[in-house]
Amino acid sequence: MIQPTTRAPESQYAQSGSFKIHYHEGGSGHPLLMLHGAGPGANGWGNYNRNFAAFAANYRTIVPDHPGFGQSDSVVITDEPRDVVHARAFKDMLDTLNIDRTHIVAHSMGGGVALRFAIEYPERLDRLVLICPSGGGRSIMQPTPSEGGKSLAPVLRDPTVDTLRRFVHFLVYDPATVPEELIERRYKAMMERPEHLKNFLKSMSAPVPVASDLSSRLHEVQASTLLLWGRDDRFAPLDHGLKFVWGIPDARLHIFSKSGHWPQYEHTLAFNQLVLNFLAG
Amino acid sequence: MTTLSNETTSKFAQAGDIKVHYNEAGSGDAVILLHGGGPGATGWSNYFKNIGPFAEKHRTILMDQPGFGETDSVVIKDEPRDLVHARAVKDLIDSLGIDKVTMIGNSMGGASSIRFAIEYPDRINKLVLMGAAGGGISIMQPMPQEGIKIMFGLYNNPNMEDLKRMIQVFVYDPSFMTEALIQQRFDAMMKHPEHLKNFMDSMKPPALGLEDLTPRLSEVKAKTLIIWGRDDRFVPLDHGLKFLWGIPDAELHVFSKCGHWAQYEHADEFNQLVLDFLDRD
Amino acid sequence: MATTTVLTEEGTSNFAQAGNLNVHYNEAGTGDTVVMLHGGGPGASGWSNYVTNFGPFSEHYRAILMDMPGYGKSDPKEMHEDYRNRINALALRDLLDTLGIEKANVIGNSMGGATAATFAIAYPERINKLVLMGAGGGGASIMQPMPLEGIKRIAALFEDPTLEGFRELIKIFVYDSSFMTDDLLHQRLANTLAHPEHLEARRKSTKQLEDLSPELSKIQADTLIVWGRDDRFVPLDHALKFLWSIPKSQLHVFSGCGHWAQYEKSGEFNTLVLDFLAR
Repeated sequence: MIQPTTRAPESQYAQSGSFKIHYHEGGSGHPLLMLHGAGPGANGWGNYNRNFAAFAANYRTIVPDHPGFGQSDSVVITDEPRDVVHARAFKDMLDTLNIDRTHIVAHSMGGGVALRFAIEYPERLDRLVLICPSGGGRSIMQPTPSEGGKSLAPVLRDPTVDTLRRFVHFLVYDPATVPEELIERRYKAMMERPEHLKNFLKSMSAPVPVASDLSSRLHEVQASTLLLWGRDDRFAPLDHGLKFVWGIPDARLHIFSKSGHWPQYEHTLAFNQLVLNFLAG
Repeated sequence: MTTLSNETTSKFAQAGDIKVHYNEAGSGDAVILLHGGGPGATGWSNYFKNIGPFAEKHRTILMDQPGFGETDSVVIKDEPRDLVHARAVKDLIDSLGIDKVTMIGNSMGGASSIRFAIEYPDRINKLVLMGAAGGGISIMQPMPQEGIKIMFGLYNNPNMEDLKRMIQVFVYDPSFMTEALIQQRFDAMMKHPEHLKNFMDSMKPPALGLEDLTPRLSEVKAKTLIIWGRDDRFVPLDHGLKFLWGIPDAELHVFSKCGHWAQYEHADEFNQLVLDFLDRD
Repeated sequence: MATTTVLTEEGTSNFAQAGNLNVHYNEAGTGDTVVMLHGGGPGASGWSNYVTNFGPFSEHYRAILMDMPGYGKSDPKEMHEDYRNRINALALRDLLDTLGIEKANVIGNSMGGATAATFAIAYPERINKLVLMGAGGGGASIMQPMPLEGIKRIAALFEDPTLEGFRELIKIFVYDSSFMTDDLLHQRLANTLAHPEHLEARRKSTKQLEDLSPELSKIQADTLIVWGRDDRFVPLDHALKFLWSIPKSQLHVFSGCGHWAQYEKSGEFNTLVLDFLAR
C-alpha cells in the first residue's frame, strides 16, 4: 500500500514535435497510452503505478509525462488551448515511436487531451477510456470552480507539503487511503521541477483555456468510449459524466461510489478489471 | 453446452402458498433473476439471452414472480407488491434448500430484489439492479414515464397494436425486436388474462403497488451493481443516481443507446460486466 | 403614502415565552403575519439574516424575525429529544400561540427552511403560504458529494470561531463577497462569541436536521422555492426535489447567487415574494 505496486521501468525519452517527452514503457502487444491528470507534482508513473502491471501484462503500455509535467520539457502555453497542444504532442510522439493506432486511457486533464485527440486524430485511436475527464465546460448542478479545483491555486502560489496535502486529500473519497509517503513523494516530484509550477500558473493567466469546453463536439468522437467517474468527485462534477454519456455516440458510464477523483487508485482492482475487459472489446 | 430452451429448463416448486414456476440451469452459487412488471413478462422472456452464459458459472434460476407467467396468479391489496415478491423468493429458496443467493432484478423485479436485500440480509450475496423500480419520485423527469403510461393502457386493454407501441418505447433500437419475438410476447400476454386483471386489481397508484424504498436504501448491506439504460423511458435515470447515493456499497453502470432492457439490448457487455462483478471478492 | 421609518434592531426587539423557552424576535408592521426564519451558521440571527427584507415586508405585513432556539438572544437549547427542525417548528407554534396569531406566512432560509417546511407539515392549519430559500432537510444529494464545502466550513467554525474562519465562510456563502468588510466580520464574530452558551449547546446536541424527503408531499400550503444557482451549502438538486415533492410549488433560481438569496438579490427577492404572498 505504501510503495507503488511495481517498480518503474527505465526512463525513456521521445522527441514529440517541439517537446522532449519522458515516458515509461512495458509489455507488448497492442499499444496503450495512459495519460495522467494535472496538478502540482503530477506525472504518469505517480498516477498509474498501481495499474501498470495489469495493463503491461496485456498491452504495450506507454505512460508519458505531459508537456509541462514530470520529466518532460516544461512549457508556457498562451496561444492555443492546452488540450490542443498536448494532443498534438502525443500524436507526434506516436509518429516518433512508429505507432499507427493506440488505445488511450486518460485521467482528468489528460482526459480532456484524449477527447481532443479523439476528435482531431480519429484514425490514430482505437478504444478510449476517460476517467473523470475535463472538457465538459460548465456544470449544471454545481457551482464552478469546484471545491477541489479551488485547492489547486494555493499550491501553485505556495508549494509546501501542507498546501499539497490539502489538495491531495480533496482528490480522494477517504484521505486515510493516502499515506504520508505518497504526499512526500509527490512533493519531491513537484520540487524537482519548480519551473513547471511557475509555467502552469503563467499559462493559467493566459486568455486561452487550460481545458477547452468540448461539449459541442462530443458527437465527433468515433471511438468506443468507457467513461469512469467517482460518485464523490470534488473536482469533476458528476453531471459531466452524464453529459458525456449523452454526447459521445458509443459510450458507457461507470460510476464508483465512495470514490473521489482518482478511481484507478481508490478502486484499483475493479478499475483494472473493468478497463481491461472493455479494451478487449 | 446444450442449447437451453424454455421447455427443457422449466420447473415448478411450492413457495409458501404459491406454486412458483421457474427456469433453472447450471450449478454452483445460486443466482436468481427477477423479470419486470409488463403484461406477459416472464423470467424466460426477460433473460433468455443471459441464462446460457450465467449457467456456465452459476446455478441460474429465472423465477416467474407471483401473478406472472406460469406461477400462480395473485391479487395483492394489503402489502407492497415488492414485499410479497421478496417473500416468495425466500420461500422458493427455502423449498430448494438454498441458503444464499445473488439477486438480479429488472424494473419491478429490481424493487423486489432491493426488498429481498432489506428483509433477508443473511440470505443474499450480491445484488444487481437494472432499471429498478422502487425509487419514488424523479427530480429530472415528469412521471408517470411515457413507457409506464403505455404499459397501463395495455393492462387495461391488451392488443397487438399497443404492444408494438410499448416495444417501440421499451428498447432504444426497436429494429432488432423480431416479429417472432413480438408475437411470442403477445401470446404470453394473452395466455393468462387473469394475471392482467389481478395486476390492475392490485394497483395502488401511482407506483404499481410498489413502495418507495428510498428511505430504506441504507439498509442494503449487499455489494450492489446498478445498471441503467441512458435512454430508459420507463424508470428515469436519476433513480440510478438515487440508488448509487442511497445504497452504501454500490456502483452504477450506464449503457448508452439503451432503453429499459439492458440485459437484452447490450447482452454481451451485460453478461460480462455482471459475471465479473459476481466474480470479484 | 407613508414614509418608511428606518427600523433598528433595538427599536424592534422583543421577547416572549414560547413553551418553556424564552424567545427573542424583531417585529414591525401590521396586517397579516409573515414570520422569517434564519439559517443555522454560528452567530446567525433573524435580524442579521433579513436586514434587507425586514423594512419592505413590514410595509405590507406584520413582519416577525424570530431568533431560533440556540441562536441570537433566544434561550440556548441542546437538541436531544427530537430533530432540530421539529423543536424549532414547535417553538414557532408556541410563539404564535403566545402572540395570539392564528395563521402566518412562513419564510425560511437553510435551517430556517427546514423549520418552515416542518411547520407546514406539522401544523397545516397555522400556515398560509410557504417560502423556502436554500432550504435544508432535503437529505442526500444525487449530484454532489456531501457534506458540501460550506457545511464543512460551518462545522469547523462551530468548533473554533475565528475571524479568519468567518472570512473563509463568507467568501463562499455568497456569490460575490466584495461587500464583505472587516467590520462585518468582526460583528459576526462578536455575535458568536457573545453567546458561548449557544456554541456549547450545539456541541452537546445529539440530533440535528432531519431528512424531510418522505414527508414533503404532505405540504398543502402554496409554496415558492427560491435557490441560488451557485449555492455551496445546500445543493441545487434539492431545489428540484422540493419542486417535485411539494404539490403546489414553483421554483425560482437566481444566477450569480449563493446561499443568501434574500440578501444577494434583495430587490428582486422582495418583489418576487411580496407578489407571491399577495396573489
